[in-house]
Amino acid sequence: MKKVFLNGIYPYDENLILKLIDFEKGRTSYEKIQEEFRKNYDLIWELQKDIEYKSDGLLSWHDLLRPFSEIIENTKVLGLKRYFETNFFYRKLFFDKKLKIKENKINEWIENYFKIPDENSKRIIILPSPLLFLEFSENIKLKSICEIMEEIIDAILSKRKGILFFEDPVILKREILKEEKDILRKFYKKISSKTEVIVQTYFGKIDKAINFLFSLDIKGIGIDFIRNEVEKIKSWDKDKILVAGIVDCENSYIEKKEEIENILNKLREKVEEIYLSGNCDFVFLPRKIADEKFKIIKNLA
Amino acid sequence: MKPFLTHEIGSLAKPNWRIKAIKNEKLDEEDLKEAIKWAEFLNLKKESEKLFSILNKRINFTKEEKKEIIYFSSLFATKLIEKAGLDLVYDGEQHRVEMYEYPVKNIEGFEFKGYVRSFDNKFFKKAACINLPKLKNFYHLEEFKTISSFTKKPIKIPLTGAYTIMDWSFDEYYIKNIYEENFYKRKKLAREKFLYDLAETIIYPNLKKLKEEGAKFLQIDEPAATSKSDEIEIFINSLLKSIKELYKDTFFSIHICFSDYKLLFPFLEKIQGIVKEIHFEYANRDTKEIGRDKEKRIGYKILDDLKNFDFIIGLGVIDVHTDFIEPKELIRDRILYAYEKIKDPYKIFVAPDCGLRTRKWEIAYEKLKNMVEGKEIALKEIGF
Repeated sequence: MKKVFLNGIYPYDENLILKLIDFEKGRTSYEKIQEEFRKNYDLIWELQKDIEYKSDGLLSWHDLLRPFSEIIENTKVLGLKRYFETNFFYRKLFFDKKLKIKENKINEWIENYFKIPDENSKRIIILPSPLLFLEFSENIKLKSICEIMEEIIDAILSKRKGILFFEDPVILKREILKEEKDILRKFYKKISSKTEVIVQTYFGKIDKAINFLFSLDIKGIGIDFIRNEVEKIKSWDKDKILVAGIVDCENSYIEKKEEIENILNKLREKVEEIYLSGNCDFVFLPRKIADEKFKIIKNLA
Repeated sequence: MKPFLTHEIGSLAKPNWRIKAIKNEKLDEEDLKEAIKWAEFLNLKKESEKLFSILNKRINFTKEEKKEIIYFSSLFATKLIEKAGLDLVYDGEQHRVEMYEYPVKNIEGFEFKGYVRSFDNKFFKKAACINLPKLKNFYHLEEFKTISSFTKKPIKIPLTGAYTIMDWSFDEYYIKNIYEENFYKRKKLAREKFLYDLAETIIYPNLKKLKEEGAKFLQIDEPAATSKSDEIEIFINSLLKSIKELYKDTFFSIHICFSDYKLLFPFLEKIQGIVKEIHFEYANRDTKEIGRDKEKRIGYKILDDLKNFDFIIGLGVIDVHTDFIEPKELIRDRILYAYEKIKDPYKIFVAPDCGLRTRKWEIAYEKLKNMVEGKEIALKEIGF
């Protein structure tokens, strides 16, 4: 099996996008949209046929937080907020003080947002890290986010086998307070007792966060090697795997094989177990280019 | 200049009869009725006979007919803005596809790579720079001349800035021509070179030509300005390279929206006196409640910092992402809250947060009409 992760939200193909544009203007039916979605899922599974942990590309997610507005009682979807350095916008969520999961909806929610090609497949279960969740939320504290996420993760793990993949650009973007670190340590320890956990970082330099990440009870760390130089990784915790983001998902320039191999060879001198991924979500690329870049890392893995 | 001068920001929706005709889709009865309805509403029925006769063909419009259709959608949109009572007018980008695709199509060296998501199920066609950018033609000139023939009011032409074109494009050309081992440094150097080339060889000549043809108000749209915190300085430099000496007898405004404005403050001094108006989006962050206390006007917090600079404040008072028609009292309070900070009605321009292209004309018109009426009440209250 190839050691590759299809990380983050994956782009739609052009047929689906054109159908969605038509649908909004009343020029096509809901059924036609569903048909295109089915084709997109088939293509996503095909792309990952030789990969152990599969993702559905989060094709039904508008952003990494939006599904939570449907499963946590009384959540309001607010205005747009730029997703870090991109031209992609999230909607902030506003939470009720009393956080409660919609118990009667949870199974349907998991079916919708965590699809698998067949019952035996293992998932890469992608979620926003608690810090990312906090960044795009209002009226909620980090501790409460961790608590409600634990409940949701329990429900997901009762239906899906796989590895948990927390996306966390925030950890590289601002100073994490001591009390926040304590909360995160406890959270990741608890979750790691249930399944393997990877924290994927991107959009920043890893230097200041690496020691804290090593101190977490997690299986692996993802690093954006478009922004980070391999030389900055002085040593590596042997118990942790590295998810190396080595293709640039923010630019259509297709990396030359030797450019990537150069990084990879240097990494292999320092780290035993390496999985490959995009440096961040593939959603910032048109589908054809995303496929091309994903195939490059698949061939190198 | 007028106190609390009103203007639109850029886009309006395009009427269905225009979209379908350009796309070679068959027009239906409703499309024709819509054209007649707006012609009547805008007192353009007589002038629009030619349009109705073209639209009656329903499909297979010739190149000339399509040009006429664009002409009429430009006329309708300009008159809609005029009728709403705005001081500066424009045609809501009826000549353009949208703010990115249109300029890029008019620059050599770009190739469209496909759609990428912007938010929810909204997408835009993204291009890559594959060769040295070169201006094909002055791409806003015809638009300016056409609108000038419709109105006696001053016209403001918006133009997508160099930074936004660079940031919203991929780069496959410059990155190949920069020799630097560190991939990120190489990418950054390539972006800087790409940006400055766009400013000097694409934006500046366009602005200069518009000025020579008589444009007095030019707005540079830079929604991407703050998207990369380590590139604010090169963004500001690109503005200077785009405007150069033209500021001496032309009014320049800059429009930035849905951004982290605080990132700009360390660099704004550099463009004081060159860019006259700085327009941000505020209403999107604000409450809908009437009142002038800071809790109700939470969206206007940034004015506390902005008031220390010498700019005219372009004040977004209409949320463009909702059909909610802001009552004139709410508009009044948003303006007067800003007035309490800025103290000078000539240093506040009133506008929507951004272009209204996602709203139907009926909604856009009601919003703009209330904006003008709200401004009138605000003026009265301060004794004008």
